[in-house]
Amino acid sequence: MSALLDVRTGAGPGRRAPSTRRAAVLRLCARRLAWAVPLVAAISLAVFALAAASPTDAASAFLGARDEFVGASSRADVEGLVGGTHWLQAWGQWVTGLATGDLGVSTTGRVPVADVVTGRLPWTLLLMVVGLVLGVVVSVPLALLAALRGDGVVARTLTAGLWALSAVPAFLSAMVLMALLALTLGWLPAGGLTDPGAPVTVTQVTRHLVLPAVAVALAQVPWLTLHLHRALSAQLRTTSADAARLRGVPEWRVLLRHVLPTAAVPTLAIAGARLPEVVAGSVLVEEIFSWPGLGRALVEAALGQDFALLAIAAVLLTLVAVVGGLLADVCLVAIDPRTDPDAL
Amino acid sequence: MTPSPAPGRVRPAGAARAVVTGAVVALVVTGCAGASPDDPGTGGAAGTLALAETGEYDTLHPLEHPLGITSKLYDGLVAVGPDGVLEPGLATAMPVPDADLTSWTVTLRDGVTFSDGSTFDAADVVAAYEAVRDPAVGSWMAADYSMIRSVTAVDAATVRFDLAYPYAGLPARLTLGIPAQEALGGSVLDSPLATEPDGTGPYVLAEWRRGESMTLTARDDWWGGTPEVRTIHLAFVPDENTRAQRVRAGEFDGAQLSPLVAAGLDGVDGLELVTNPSGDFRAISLPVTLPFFADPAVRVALNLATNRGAMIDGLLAGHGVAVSGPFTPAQGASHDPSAVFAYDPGAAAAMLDDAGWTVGDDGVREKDGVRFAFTVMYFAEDTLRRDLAQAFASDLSGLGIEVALEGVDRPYAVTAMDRKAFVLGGGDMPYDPDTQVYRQLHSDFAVFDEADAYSNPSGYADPEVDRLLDGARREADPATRVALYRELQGRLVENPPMVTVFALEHTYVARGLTAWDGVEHVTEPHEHGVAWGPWFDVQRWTRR
Repeated sequence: MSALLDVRTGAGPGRRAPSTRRAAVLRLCARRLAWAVPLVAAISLAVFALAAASPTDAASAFLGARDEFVGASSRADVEGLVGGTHWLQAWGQWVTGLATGDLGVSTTGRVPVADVVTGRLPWTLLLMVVGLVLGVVVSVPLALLAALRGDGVVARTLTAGLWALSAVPAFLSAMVLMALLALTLGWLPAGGLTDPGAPVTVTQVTRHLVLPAVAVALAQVPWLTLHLHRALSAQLRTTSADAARLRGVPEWRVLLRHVLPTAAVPTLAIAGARLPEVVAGSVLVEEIFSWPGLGRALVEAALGQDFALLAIAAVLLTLVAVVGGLLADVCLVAIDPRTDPDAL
Repeated sequence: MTPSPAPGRVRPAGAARAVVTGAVVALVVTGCAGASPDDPGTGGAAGTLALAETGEYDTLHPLEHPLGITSKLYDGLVAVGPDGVLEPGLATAMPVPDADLTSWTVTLRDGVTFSDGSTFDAADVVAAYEAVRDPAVGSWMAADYSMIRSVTAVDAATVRFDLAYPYAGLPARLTLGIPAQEALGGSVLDSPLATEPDGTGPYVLAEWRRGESMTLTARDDWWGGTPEVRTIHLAFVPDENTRAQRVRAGEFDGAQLSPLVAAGLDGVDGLELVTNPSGDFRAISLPVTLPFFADPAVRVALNLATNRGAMIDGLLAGHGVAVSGPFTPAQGASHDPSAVFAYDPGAAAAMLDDAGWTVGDDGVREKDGVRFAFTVMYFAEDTLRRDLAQAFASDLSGLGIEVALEGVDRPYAVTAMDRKAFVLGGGDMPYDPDTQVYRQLHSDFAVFDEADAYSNPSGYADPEVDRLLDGARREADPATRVALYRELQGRLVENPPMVTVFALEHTYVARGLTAWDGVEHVTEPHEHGVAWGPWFDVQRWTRR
């Protein structure tokens, strides 16, 4: 994966005409997406193999707490229903189904996988995107502030605080947020998509989205800010920045015009690579806030050897990683004219 | 609902998780003064209930999820009524057996319709009982219906169950919810009934937001009358602290909570504690393959050494009943409350000495070079079973017995059941003594089988116990049957198969119950949740 995202900010092969550059970006997109096909195949195969090798048991997970009360003959029936297929054969069936648009049936949810994905993925995406955007909105000013203050007390306190915060997992900040803002102060709802029984309206969902989105954002702010701050500090003392200062450009303008764009390059690259991690972190946040995303379904699927659902989740995550990396690189090409799309 | 299995083979609870939980408990306990209840007591009166459920249901198929939530959507031929007494449901009267209990006839109610509008008749009953026994359908309850040889529609309003052997406990098994036969579909995995119920019950599923909540609305044409509680919102809130605080803040009208948490909320912000008795017992198996447990005297000694009272007070805040075997007060007259083990560690030590297990140099008992040391397994994610295992180990260590504790997951537990003790849960069908105890006690289940490891996990066999179990199963006269079960409990005190510790009371908090008449108690099975508690019969509530 890291090879895909290798950022070459060194001297490129020079500036090209915009049209050839656009063509090169298109080539980059095509190349990456073509790459995704064997990647997805390999990863889905690995998911089937790993799920089969895991110590979980499909029948006992399917039975859940009832497991303790099942007679021997019934257990055999259930095993016949949910287990018993060799993982390679199960993968073959899955791929064949996929070709005809059939994603299979989720054994843990007792519904077609397509229903699980269409019903739940939008809520996960909403939470992730809002959380990430919120993270960026908070991180950029923080990093700028820290960079401007250089070695001051503010910068040091800020970075120290962020290092500490980066050690706090998303689920813990979620629980603390809920305990404080929802349960103690009663400012925001403690969970769910809406109030009990309320229809799904924008107002309702927005109110219920705040806490989970803040929890997701809190997990992103430390690394975003720290990376950006580091890059900003490095770019502050470049000759181009100094030249701008000599021309009498105010410091904030130097930062925004000359330093921030170059500093954003490595941060963007890392952001692309970290997208799947954001998804994984939001799974726990969803669980705590009873947010109806894919999170809980995925946990159940992993425990229950729910091949079809696990595989599609892995495919989606792979696509998120590929597309995330691609977006980061396209942004890179747009920001930094020295980048050669063909070399990415 | 109990928590889902843990992902791996886990040793006793992760320290990190304990710290986190501790911190959050501290936060919510110390800082909840700000929450103000929204008009406590009016939630229910408006005809709408909002309840916090312990977790999401994996299916609403009545052949996969009996009783509980599906009893709101389906009716069985027989229903679980107030105080756990079986009463006619879709049957006009309780099923009538022939003289030798091998043929049972049920007369069906007239004018009952399914939620899809179709009419209920004998064909639906036959289809349901064919399906539950069909291996291809994959109902986990199939083995529970193995006594049925055939189900026949005598006419549109009469069904006859012919059995392979005399079976007195059949009515408890006829609580199975009956779906419209057209909706049955194939296996429980791909039947539409998993998500689209089609029953004769008082409520229909209005909305299911997967992963979040579910809404039920009352039918106007339910055969039992028109429910006055028109809408039930069920939100899935797995975390107990969150559930407790959200119900306290007035967001919900009730929730199931563990005894300690529920007792702490009694009388707070308009909430009241509601408890129901259950057949839900916890026991520790004593595998007879281990040299010490082969001796009945040793098993008696361990029962005497177990301080049940302290466990009930400490782990359940007093909300439990000490029992000596799988019989619980839920079995009514068949339960013999005098068949109990006193807490007498002195007598236990003397019995162990007499049996040849004497304290060795290292403080652990031994006999013929064998040390009295064994392992107790518990489901790692289940804190009650963990605490019970710890309390048991501590009682035994005072007696010179070395107990190692091991938190396990389900796939591992069944592989080790024949050589390690296990904290067992029971009582999935407490409405007949036979369904409650037979599989735990009969020697037919004594031979170790990974596929049936939880039945008779000690590998216990006693011909006298077998005789009484089989006699009671085939006994048509209720009084004689009760006498047989009482005799059996006497035998179990002389030759106990395991250390049965307590039957739980399930604990709930609720608000606004005083606005309603008809709020009853019920005897609950192992399962609990807001489909039980004071709400089990919500369809019959009337405004005060």
